[in-house]
Amino acid sequence: MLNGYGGHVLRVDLTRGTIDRTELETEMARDYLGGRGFAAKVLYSEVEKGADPLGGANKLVVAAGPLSGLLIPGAGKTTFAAKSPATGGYADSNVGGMFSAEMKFAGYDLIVVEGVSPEPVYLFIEDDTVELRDAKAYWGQGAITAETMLKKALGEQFQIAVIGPGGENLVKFACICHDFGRQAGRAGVGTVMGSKRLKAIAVRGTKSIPVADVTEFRRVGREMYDFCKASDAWDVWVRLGTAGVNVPSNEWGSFPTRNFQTGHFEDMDKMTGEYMREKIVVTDKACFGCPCACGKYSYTKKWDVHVEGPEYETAAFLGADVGVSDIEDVAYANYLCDDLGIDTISTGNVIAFATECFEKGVISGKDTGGLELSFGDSEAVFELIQRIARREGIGDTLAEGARHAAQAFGGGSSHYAMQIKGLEISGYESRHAPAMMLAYMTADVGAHHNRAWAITYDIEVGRDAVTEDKAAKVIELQHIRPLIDCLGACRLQWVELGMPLDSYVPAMKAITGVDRSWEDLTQVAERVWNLTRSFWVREIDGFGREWDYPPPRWYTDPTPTGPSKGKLVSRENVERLLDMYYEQRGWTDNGLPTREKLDQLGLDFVKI
Amino acid sequence: MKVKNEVELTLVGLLRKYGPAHTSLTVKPGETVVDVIRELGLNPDLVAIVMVNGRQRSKADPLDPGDRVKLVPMVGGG
Repeated sequence: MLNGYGGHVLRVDLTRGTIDRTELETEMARDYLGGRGFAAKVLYSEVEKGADPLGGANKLVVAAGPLSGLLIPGAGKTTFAAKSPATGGYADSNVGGMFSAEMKFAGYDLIVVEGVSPEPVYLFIEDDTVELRDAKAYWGQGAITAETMLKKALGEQFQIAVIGPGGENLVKFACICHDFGRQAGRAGVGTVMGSKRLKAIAVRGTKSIPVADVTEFRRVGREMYDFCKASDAWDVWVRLGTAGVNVPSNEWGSFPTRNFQTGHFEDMDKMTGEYMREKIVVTDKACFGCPCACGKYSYTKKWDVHVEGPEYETAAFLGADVGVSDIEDVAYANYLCDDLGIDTISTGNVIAFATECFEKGVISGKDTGGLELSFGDSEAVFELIQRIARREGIGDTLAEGARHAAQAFGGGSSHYAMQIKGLEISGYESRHAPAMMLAYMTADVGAHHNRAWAITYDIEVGRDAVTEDKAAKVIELQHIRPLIDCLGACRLQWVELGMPLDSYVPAMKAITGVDRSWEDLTQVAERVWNLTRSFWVREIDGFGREWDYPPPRWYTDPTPTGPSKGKLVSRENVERLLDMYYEQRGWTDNGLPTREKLDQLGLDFVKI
Repeated sequence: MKVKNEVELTLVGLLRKYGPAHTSLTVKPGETVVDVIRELGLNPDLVAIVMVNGRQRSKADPLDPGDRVKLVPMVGGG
């Protein structure tokens, strides 16, 4: 019995229709903790180089962490991971809600799905009963619709992870959906699920999670809870959710606008978190064990739909980045993406890219089937979302992602295809934020902000500086938030509410019975970071520095307007940032982990 | 007891380096949130969210006597 863990791993082979249950090994828990730690270890060790991301040799990993399912604030995250069909490299994405908690109650820390089912199926888990069930009745249904159907069929207590038509149609940025509006959104984890004809996973558990010191666990959990509730920021995040960041990001000149042409959107009156609260928010939604209900459940009268959101990223990508300025239109686009099961970040980014191409004459009505594209045209956005999910006409090209679309469209459009490593950049225009740009360049799934949200450091120490401490900060952050991902928890308690990070140390000790220092825990994060980097190195011949470069727009086009007007990070500084980062990471100057670094982290099984 | 031409100011988290957690300030007519922020010696960009009387406001908004102002930073940068 492993304190803090469900204790079991489920291995599902969809080709043969077999399910095996094994015990979670102590070494796995010790060296990788859980969440994306488990994902990185499984994917590196078990998915062979060259595996087709859409084929049976790819594995979909679902992982909880030691905090999942326990009453620790923020313990509501589940990690989904696979080799990415979008990038060809490592992918993980986490989702808030209840799923990992229910996995733990059923006794599972890790689910590994390989193979391809001959027919659509869903994985049914109820404590020790695990079976593959016919999903024909659900295949083709929207993700929100399918989750409703499954809960009605199985019972409300089941937690559901489900794909929509986007995943079924292998859109490269399809997401895995859960709890009526939350998603594991990035890098095509939903695409992998669709490629396996796995429509959903339904889980219910009635067991108890073993904890080493229940009294101390309750005391520590209660202390963390009290901190959160007493925080002067608590009511702010409950009122606004992440949409509260729309205004400051715009004031920082970091709100992506019209395909990242600039970082300041002029038309924010109907896009602020406050306007959203007053106009459309109906109620607040929380994840498992979280006292800060940051989810905003909304109803738009204009479009007569309910949606969870829009979150900051969605306000950026289905709003400013496509030139749309009414949060109700953003909410409708959000609803479409959520039910179709495609990532709002990549979807908006790709639509914005197509729109800029159209405005520049790189593509025309011939390519779009007569649909006119212009920034601010929300009806065109709604139409393109649907064409992408159904892979119709130009939607088929856009469904492959911005990098591919730029290659298909030509006309020099790669200059402003806002992606790194094949993953569309998320919501921070970074020409006046070198640390944030470095964070995007080095994020281990392609450009994503949640590994190292470094923009506040740029602001704190001076935005123009391109200095060693910025590289050091990015590395430090890459060992913190991803560590919280390994634990199965959310960063909100720390980033938004200011909870001290070392709160996790006594929590982990009380739960697991093992006293690990914060340094020891962050070393796990460093191990996982080097392992995911090594996955890319092995998968992609010639992988190295040039894969870390940002799109040319970010080092050749000065920001034209707003608070960051005139700013960019020069190509020379891009190289300097990478030089400093690689050196501090103990990697070669081409960005590859050295034998020495790998051995220091216990990664002797990684061959270089 | 509230004094007529004062606003109540709350500084959250790391902004407490720049002043007490809770205080009252006299404001001149037409003074804005960003004016108050600068008077504290604070870089306005370090303030992520501004709440006035429980609602998010812009830093350019003017303040009225009796307003309750809360200045919220974001961490994740250190």
